[in-house]
Amino acid sequence: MKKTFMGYPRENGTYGVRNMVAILSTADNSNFIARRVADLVKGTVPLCPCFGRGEIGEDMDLHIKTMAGLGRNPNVHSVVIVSLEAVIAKKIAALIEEEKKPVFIYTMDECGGSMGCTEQAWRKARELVIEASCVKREEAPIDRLMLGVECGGSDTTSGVVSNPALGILADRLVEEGGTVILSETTEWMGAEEMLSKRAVTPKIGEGIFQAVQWYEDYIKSIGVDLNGFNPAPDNIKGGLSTIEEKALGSVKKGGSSPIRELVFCGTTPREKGLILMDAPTGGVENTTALAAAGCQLILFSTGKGNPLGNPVAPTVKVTGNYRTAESQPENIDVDLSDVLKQDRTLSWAADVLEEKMIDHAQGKLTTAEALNDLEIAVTRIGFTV
Amino acid sequence: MKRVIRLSEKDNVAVVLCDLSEGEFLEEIGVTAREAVPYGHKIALADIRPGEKIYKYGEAVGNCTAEITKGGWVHVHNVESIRGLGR
Repeated sequence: MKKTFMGYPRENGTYGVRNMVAILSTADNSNFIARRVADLVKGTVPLCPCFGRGEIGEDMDLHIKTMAGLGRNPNVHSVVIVSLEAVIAKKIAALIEEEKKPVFIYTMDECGGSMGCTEQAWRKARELVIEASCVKREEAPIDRLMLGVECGGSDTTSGVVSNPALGILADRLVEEGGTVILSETTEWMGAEEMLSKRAVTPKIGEGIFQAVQWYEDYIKSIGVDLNGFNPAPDNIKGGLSTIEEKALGSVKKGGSSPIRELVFCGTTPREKGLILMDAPTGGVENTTALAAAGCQLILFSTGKGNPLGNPVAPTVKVTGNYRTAESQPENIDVDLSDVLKQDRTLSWAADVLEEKMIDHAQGKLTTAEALNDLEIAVTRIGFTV
Repeated sequence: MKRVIRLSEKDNVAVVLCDLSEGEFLEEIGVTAREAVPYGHKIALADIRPGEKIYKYGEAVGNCTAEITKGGWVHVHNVESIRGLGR
């Protein structure tokens, strides 16, 4: 594996693979301002959550941590926060400032409503993108890369081709001192034993069992069968019959390295190497949690196809299904279908993937970025009140 | 192009990599399809009875819920998860 990549240096010692100005809306009630400002200024990206208002306790903490995490991500040069009022904005800003990142707050309350807030945020965004454009890529050690591995629209080929190829690459990055985050807790169901055996401490091993148990208890408490929900109808159409079958294919994308830490949704790991993140499996929601944890790049394996990308962490679409590569070519970045078509090895597939990963890390747009097929969703725990 | 793969010696199903028609013989695994099996779906390598486990990747991935004969299509109509059942 290459020992370095060209990244944007940040004050806190991290390196971005992109250099964007985030227009961060604190809650659903200011999303329209973030979208408007992002439409007006090239080089910005709107971060628009559902909800945020009326959340309480753990839910509110998770909302603030996740939105701040997106702003803290090394790919973000600076942040313009737009908000209805200042209290939540200041909480998010304080967490972003910990990373020595420029952050500016504009509230409708203090800027004269939505037009005044738009205008002031617009002026600041213009200034920041010009500043950001002066930052140049520098050679960065490959161990500064934090990679998220994700799958969505999974089918049989996911567990046989794209996920194992991602796993080989994940092992190579970990070998070089980098970090890989494997998440989607429900998709550890049936694979807990295999995962917990690789945990570096008994506590992490137990944590893996408990994390899955939480979801299984929740499913049982509401009296439904997981089947039909996960695997979802597209997974079932793709040949996956049960959650265990999906999970055993899904966890392959994390590779076979020791598991150094188990973190909760959107939390930045303290350790390097392979990390497990306990978070829900929905693609938009999970990629948001990965980006909030600090992943600069996400490798996203798909069987049936799933175009979504994260606005902060470029999301590279990888498939091993030749039918998907042929039917949705514009939504695929890396086609590994020759593994089944031409009998190529998984090691060949990992080589291809490695080269593409470095290309995308160094600025090549992913198809989701080019098409703006980008979305975020912040995990909810309870109800708003 | 491969028409089928068996992922582990322990498995009692194989993964079909083509749209398999009834009566087609898969030399690689010595099994004749008893019915059509869609691309990416599973074919039984042996007779499997209700209550027995389905093995893929060498691991139990579900319980058989209806009689499956060798060469039969193995999917949600005759397999269910072991986990996550809240009914």
